[in-house]
Amino acid sequence: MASTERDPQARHDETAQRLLNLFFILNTSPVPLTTTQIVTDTDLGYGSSNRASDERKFRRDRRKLEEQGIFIQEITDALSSEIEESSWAIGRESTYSCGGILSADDVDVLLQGIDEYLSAGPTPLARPLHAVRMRALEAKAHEDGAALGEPEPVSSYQPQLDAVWTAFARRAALTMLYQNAQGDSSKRTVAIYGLFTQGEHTYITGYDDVAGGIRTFRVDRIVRAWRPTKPYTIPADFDIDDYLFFPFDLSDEACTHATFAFPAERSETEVAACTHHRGTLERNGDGCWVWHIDVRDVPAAASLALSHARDGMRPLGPPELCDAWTAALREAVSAYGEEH
Amino acid sequence: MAKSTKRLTEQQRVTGALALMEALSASPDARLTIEDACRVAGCGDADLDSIIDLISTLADREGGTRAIVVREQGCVRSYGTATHMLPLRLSAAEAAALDHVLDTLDIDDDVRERIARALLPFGWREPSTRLIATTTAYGACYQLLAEAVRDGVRCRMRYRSQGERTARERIIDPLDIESTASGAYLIAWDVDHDEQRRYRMERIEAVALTDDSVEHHALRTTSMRESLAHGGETVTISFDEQGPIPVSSWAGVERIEADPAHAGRLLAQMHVTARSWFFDQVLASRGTITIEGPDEVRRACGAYTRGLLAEPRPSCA
Repeated sequence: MASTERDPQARHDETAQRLLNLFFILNTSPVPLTTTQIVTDTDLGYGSSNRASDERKFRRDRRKLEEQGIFIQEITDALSSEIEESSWAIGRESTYSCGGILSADDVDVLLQGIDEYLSAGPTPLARPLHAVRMRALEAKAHEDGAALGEPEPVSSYQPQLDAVWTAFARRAALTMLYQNAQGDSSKRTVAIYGLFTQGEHTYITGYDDVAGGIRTFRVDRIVRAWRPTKPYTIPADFDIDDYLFFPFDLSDEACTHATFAFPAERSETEVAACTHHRGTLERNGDGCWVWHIDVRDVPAAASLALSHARDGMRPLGPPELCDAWTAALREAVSAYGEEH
Repeated sequence: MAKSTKRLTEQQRVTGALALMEALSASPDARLTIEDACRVAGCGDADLDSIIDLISTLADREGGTRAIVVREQGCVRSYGTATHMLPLRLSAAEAAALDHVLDTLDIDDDVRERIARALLPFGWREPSTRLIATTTAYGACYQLLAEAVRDGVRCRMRYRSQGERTARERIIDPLDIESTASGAYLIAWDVDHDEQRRYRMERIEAVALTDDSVEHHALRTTSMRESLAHGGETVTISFDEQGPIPVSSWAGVERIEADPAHAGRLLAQMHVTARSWFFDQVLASRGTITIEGPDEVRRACGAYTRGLLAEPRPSCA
């Protein structure tokens, strides 16, 4: 009796070969292929004695190729109802990049921008941006026959950053061994909803199975990461801007509504560099910027305003915030000399 | 040749093979160095052969076409046109990463629209909320300044220095844009002052290209620390040795050592170019950091603080 057990690796190889062959044949064929032509082709990896099974396999393969960005379309025309069989071709508009749109200057702007962004330091975006860079270069090469150009240095790739990106891109929860600031380690699974770089560190924010809620983790404290598996969906109202943090967030105290002012002359861009797009920002009757934000540690909020005092940032309220600001100033006057 | 210890997954093999065929199609001579091929396919040298083997099995018996990709003379090369393919559009995740970068750099809407039509997934829409963020601010003039750097164009720039109330105009020859963890900077030659300066990108209010080309100035590549040491004054500060070092992210700190006069305290020497920035950080530390000297700097800090105290308390209008 023949064994029904098969080497899983051989099965994976067969699937990979079938997927690529399906793409290859449709990519080279000058005309669409009918369902029968595809599902009866033994060279392609179908053609079993069970046609229904082969059709299901073909459907699964189309989905898998879609995940690779290759869309196989059913061709419908006036004749299709008469011949009563579907034909299939690669959806060129949805699959391939569109030539003749990007100018050489556009590509330069794109490449320069990506390189500039990546030069700031290690980031989980290194791998996807490298892929974007390649696509832009390939599109340019197809347009003008130019060489692909200098490859982007890969020194910014780091295993934890790659693991984070893979999990986030596939929307598959990341199981990791994480060491917190106190040195305690724990194994947890996080559905990554978003990621951000703040100063020298990159953070992930998402649903943490250990805490049973949304938490933020520093990527360089991930000791080990396993291959992400469990699929998840990011809540529609999740916004990573809400999780960029200030020292005044790092407390268990109840939230206090605080307001700060910035001079009217400041541009929104400059103010946003201080507020990190948190809270709400508006102009008051004098044209001054007013920033509304919930804080947990009032003295730390006063410190934030002091650290930007030269830019005109001032606390407006509540009174305890203004008192903390004044107390810090009086302390400094006392330390560095009263007026003589 | 190195032997792979862990086999690639089915998805990795398909992704790698497609990427390799795509890159070979875009290469004018249909060849890639082994290093580039590995980078494109996302695998090591040991796994590259398995991907080449996989591509080499592709054939259309009916149409008589066959993929021919080989490793030869330190390169991966494809023969014929059977494996030729146009560049694929970006995945949704790659599009999100690119969108974040274009947003961060405030790239012009027209360019973004063309990039979207050419490369982004068909029908892709910008999400209504953000999933990726950075606190590095490039301001609103990055694209124009990048163009000026690339093309060597002299610029008029409105810039507000630290402590200045409003921006004022300067004539500059842009040299470079530098991205660091603490912020993004324009490195430019200040024509009026005839020296190289560093400007924070988010403080640049407006830029206009002039009809003039830049004069040649060799870019002096100095780190922030070297730059501060070059143009700054030296001050001494102290803080407790217990707990995190409050100045660990300050570029101007030169040396930290135990304070021989006070047990449990550390002394640090640092270079300061903008006193207002320095005083703000001392004030924000709420007594954690003490200025030890020079006395003139201590007195200046006192005067700066008294100025803040003397301001009328603002209120919500």
